[in-house]
Amino acid sequence: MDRFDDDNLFAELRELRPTPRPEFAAELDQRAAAGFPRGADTTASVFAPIVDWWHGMRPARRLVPVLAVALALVVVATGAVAISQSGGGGSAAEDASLGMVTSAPSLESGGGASEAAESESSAEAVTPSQKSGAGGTEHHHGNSVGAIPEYEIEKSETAMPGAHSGAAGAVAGGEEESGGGAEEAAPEEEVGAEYGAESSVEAAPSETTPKVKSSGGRDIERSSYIVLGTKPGEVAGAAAKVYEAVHAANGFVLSSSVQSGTTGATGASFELSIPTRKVDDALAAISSIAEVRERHDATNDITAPTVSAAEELADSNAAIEGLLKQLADVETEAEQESVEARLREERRRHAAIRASLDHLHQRASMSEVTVRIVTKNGAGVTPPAKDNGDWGVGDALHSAGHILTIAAGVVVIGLAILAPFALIALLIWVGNRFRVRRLRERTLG
Amino acid sequence: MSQTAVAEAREAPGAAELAFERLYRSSRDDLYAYVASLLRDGPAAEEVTATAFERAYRKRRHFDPERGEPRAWLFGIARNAALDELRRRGRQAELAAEPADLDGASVEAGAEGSERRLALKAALARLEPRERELIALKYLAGLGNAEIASVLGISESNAGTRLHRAVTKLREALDGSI
Repeated sequence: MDRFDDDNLFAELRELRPTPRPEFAAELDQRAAAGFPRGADTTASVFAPIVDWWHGMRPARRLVPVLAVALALVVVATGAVAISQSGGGGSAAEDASLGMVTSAPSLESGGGASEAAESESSAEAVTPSQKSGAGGTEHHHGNSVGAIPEYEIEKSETAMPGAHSGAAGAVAGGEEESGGGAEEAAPEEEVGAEYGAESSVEAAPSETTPKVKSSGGRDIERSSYIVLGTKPGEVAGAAAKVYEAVHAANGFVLSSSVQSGTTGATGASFELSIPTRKVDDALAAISSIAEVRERHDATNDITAPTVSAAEELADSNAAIEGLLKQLADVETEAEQESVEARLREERRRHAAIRASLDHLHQRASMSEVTVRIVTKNGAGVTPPAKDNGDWGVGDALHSAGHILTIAAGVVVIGLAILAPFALIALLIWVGNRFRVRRLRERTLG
Repeated sequence: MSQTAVAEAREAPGAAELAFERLYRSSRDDLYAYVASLLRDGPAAEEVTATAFERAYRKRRHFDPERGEPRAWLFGIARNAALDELRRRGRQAELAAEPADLDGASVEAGAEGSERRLALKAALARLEPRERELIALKYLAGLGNAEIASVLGISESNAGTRLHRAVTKLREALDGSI
């Protein structure tokens, strides 16, 4: 046998070349003509069609589904965050976008004769004024306080002689002074008239003169602040329902302001006084009128000043009783004048103490409720100083910025969560490729 | 098929079909010869060849002409499929020492010719599997050194060196047998 030269060697190797069977070649040609339908590759995963679809796209077009999925995720996450924020009892951001003022009312913790006199003198008729504005009407109500009811005094004074029921109204110190002659002639009658007035108040229905105490016998002052959100065209209806709720609770409107209409700044605000016993029902009714955007409730224990005032009043009553006895026993004119002067002074003090006590009882029995109705067209009737209440470009930009901030936060948080997983997946993928490649090479090794 | 043609094929879907058709026509028998040499199993070689074409067809738009010739890319896919098949079987890869048996071709070119081919088969059997693979890629499939380098993931000069060593060993084995 001759030795192989290069040409012979390569020719002999060519002769050893395997060739496919004609049947297989024909079948493969058919599959090639049909675009190689899936079948031969048994290792293909169930995700192969998706992979095929992905690989079938141009690189530039692959950005479209990627961006669409990313955008959808961001929108869904942003919506979820926004909904969770708005549902959490009032969003500061939303309030800011609506321009709402959210300061809670301050509570009066003190009490005195001057306050009592002020409240007693506030019994005015309701005289609403109407003012037509651009795109809406405005109603202003002044102090629509009804008659301030008399309140019972926590003291048994039935020991006073000559009490006459129905002699109400003889309480003011001015009347006492102007009626000095009658006082001298019949001092017992006057005192009796005074206490008779108190007894007549006691006979009044308890609903109008509540003596509100908590379960522990405490005098508790309550106040509430509610912000309702509604559509601009529904402000008037919501305001009417507020009035109904107040009347149903036997309360009254201290002041109100309603700006209704479909354009411009719309909204309403109410300062209400509602019997404390029914304030919960009233608040529930008011809360059902529209969406509650904000609510504050506050309490203040005024038991100590109430007890103190009641004790002072009892002391004053005792002092007056003693002076009246002295007046009955006087022998000289000078002595009589002296006792009468002390009696007038004590009665002034008595009136002041009683007014203070009445005011304390009123604070405990009547709750102050502030209601604001706001719309997207404005911040109710109390727009902030920097905002005229109109929904403008600035508000839109502010809201857009807020949404973008949330979206950016969602993206950052999402990346922070996904980045470690993506890194781990990448490492696993690279490691698996390296392992498979080594195994393949070892197969030949 | 030139790189330019494949690059054009990536831009136009219709052109991609045409380019792949050309690649298939020019590589079908060569690819089968290479796979059959690796597997030494006719039915398995047919299955792996079909699988390689199917995978290449699915990834035809994924081909990057800057990373090599289309034939090298196709043979790389086939090599991976064949090695995976070998791994599944748990068999040690061996280049076809007797590739002529695969297609049942008879060796009846005379007594001397038969003797020479038997000697060549015996010499091939004494080579390392990697060396037999190099011989198969070069002389059975007809790939150039650059394409072999791309298939094996080595440099072209390294592929040339390895191929030269393999041929030298084959010649030494033949001389020894003669």
